[in-house]
Amino acid sequence: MAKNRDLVTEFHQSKPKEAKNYIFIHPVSVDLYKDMFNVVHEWNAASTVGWLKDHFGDAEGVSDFADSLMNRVHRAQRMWEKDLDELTAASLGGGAVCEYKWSDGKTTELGLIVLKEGRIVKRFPFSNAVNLEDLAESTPVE
Amino acid sequence: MLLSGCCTAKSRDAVTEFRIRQPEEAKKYVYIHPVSVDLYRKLFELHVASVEGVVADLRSRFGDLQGMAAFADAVAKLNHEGIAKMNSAVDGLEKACDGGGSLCEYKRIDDRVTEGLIVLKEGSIVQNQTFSIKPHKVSK
Repeated sequence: MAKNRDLVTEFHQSKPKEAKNYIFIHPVSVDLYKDMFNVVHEWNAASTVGWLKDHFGDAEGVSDFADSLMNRVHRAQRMWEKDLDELTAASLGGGAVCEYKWSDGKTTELGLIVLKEGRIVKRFPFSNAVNLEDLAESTPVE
Repeated sequence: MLLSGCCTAKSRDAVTEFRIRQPEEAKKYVYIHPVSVDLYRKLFELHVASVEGVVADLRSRFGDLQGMAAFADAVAKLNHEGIAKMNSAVDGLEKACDGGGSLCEYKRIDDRVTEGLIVLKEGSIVQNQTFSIKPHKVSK
């Protein structure tokens, strides 16, 4: 990890103008972020869907909506994991995945970047992460 | 603006100090990385918005069904309570950082694999929030 911290220093040295807008950059693992998907879904999509079907399943459209919702949750999880896996892949060969907070004084952005050879080679602002609404109309029932 | 927040260069030393002071315990940690709580809060915020969208959809499509409004309210309440619990846990970690503590993500392996956030202070873990527990599968 010391090497990864050097990558942050290297970035600050090689791109000082770009780096000055970063409030912090910390090398991290993506493992916990992967797990967080399940942790925050404690509202429990499966039981919500089950309850919907049990109590409103006879009403027109409810059962399809419930299936679609479960499908969206699974798709969102796969996309989240894919985004994180792509960051890890981009860090191979001497890079590091880092959490960051960026601000230009007007807007603030939080997310993950990959630093390699003194520059950012991949960027994943959390505001770009897929949400269940994004998947609402596009998801066929599996 | 180089590195700031709960975990700065000082935090890097906190990990080293923990490893020096508690070498046997520290051996179980695959990694300990100083982190900020900001990204976790952002994730919670995004999740709340995402589920609120689902609840709104439920109301607009099926709000006329008897009992559906109450069900949607219950889902929204459950969602908010769950995230409030998460935010409260993160608040507790942040508070534990007061007076020189350092917030870190970790992965620890013994008979199981645990991941979460800890606060290190003076070479000890003073607070632990585990987010994930999995069995440790040893390959034969």
